[in-house]
Amino acid sequence: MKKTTLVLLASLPLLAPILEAQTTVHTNPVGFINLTIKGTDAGKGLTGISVPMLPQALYSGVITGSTTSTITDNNATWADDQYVGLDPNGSPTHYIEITANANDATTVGSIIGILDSDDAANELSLNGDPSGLDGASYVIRQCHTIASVFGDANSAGLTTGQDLASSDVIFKMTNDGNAGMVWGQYYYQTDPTVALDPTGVGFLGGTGWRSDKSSSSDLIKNTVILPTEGLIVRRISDGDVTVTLPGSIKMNNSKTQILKGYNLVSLNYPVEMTLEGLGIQSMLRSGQDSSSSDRVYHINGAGAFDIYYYQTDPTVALDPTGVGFLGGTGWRKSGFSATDAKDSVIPAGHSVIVYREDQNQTDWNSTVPFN
Amino acid sequence: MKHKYLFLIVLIFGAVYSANAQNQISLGYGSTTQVTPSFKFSVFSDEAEVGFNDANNALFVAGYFDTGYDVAAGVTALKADFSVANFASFVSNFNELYSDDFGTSIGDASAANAGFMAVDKSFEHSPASVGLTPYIMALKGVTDFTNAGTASEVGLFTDSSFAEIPTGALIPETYNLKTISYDSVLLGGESLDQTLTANFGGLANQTGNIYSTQAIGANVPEPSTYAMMLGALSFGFVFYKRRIAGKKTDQKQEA
Repeated sequence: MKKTTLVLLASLPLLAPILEAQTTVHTNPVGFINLTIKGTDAGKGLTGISVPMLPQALYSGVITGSTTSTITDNNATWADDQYVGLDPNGSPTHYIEITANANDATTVGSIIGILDSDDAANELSLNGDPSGLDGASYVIRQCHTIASVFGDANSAGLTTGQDLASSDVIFKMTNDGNAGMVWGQYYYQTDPTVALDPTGVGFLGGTGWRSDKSSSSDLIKNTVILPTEGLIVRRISDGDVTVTLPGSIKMNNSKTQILKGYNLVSLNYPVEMTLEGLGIQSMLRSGQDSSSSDRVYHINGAGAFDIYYYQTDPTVALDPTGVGFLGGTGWRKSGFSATDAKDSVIPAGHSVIVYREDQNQTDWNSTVPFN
Repeated sequence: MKHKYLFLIVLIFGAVYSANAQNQISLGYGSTTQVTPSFKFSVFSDEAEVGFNDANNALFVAGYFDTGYDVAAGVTALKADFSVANFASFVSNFNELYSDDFGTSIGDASAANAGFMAVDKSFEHSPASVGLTPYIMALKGVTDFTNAGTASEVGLFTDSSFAEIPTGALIPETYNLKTISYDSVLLGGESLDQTLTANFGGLANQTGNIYSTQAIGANVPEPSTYAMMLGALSFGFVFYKRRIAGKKTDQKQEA
């Protein structure tokens, strides 16, 4: 794995005192990352981004008991319903993440949404199965949202219009687990009819963050972005937009669920990674060409996909040169079957789409890429 | 020699990726707002120009006709005999890309502003639609396209500025069919630059282009048919007058 330099170290002296003062239970280093979203003058106006800076930790503790849907922490200090909420899509607004587990290190990085908190029973109800996590250390965080990343009133400066087609669009992908996918589309709507409408809202649904599901709900801004989740932004205007995202740096390993079909995922850490450094190869199907292999899609600086796969060349033994007639074994970029692509760089703050053929879901376990 | 094989492999890869690509489009269709030089809305209504909403519902469909189907001839034949059976046959050639009704399910501005419905949706569409001309169809009285043949009124609109249905991509390709006016009203009616009435809810007193549906099951004669009917009436009137005049002449002679 290629060791890379944290892009945000220079900012630590500035931000650390502010954020650490609020973080009484967790001491991850803090800083910021600049996410650059390319304009149409640079290509197709598409950029895949991650949100690798974590929101402030709200609580940390050790799990003392678990069932298939709850954890107990005998030392918990939370109040009833303290970490409870659902976003417009029904996703929990808060989550627990396993940060250490001496009994089973493979569970570190597991993220499970919180449905309810009970102070009398010292119990959290979750939307996943935490059984067997007794003894594990965990942290509670509130998820990032569209508003927390791009600004409540679009301080990011994305292009806004009266509808989705006339605005920059933020894409979220939902995989149905059976190779099907649904794209959610979010945009900042500027309603030009506000002054005409006696109600003051605007005939088009008002101004604010909106989605393809609702052009009038002010709650869309609260749509959750999980730390493992990637986003794609499509700009319709020239010029880059830079989103500055402060937060904590994850210092434990990560675990990202990968389902059959297309998965738009975050890189988890705010550093550039090589394709080989992603540590994703073992969970991907490898064949003699791209069509018989699982694939990793990365949006390059021109807004087009670079498509990578891990090639296994069955003809290596036949080729006197020892390379193989099909171009050899290793990471390859589509169209360049004989060129080693393992050192291809995925820039900090980018996302990738992982296409996996296998019906059985798996986890992409990534280790902390810095010391 | 090896490079030749590589070239072939590259070609095969290209073909494979085309076949594997997702045909996702981000479709927008329906009402829109003109801001300059003055505010204007495109709205949809029934034949009586009452804006569609949850109380006066209609299915709002973006779609395309079967490849090779002669739309103009089909519309002409339907107008000559606008029977329920003929309409069911006509609409069986139409395929939906996406549809939604004007009811509260869409939840947005249109619920309060009758007739104003803007749909924005991304989805994977059928490769069979690629390259075909898009149409917007309003079907009064149904909420599911499988029941299109039972609609009580229909409107069919398109515009020459609409691009052909695109192939789509893994990340949904923008495909915008919203317009303030349609230059082709195949079925239904068009009333431009109207001051909207209370039939359009909160949009009352705003300026709008109204696109209305027309009744199914009631024959709507072509202009030539009107001319023929007028001719027959004129002939009958002349015959009647001459007959009356003849009777009066006879009465005078008898007197």
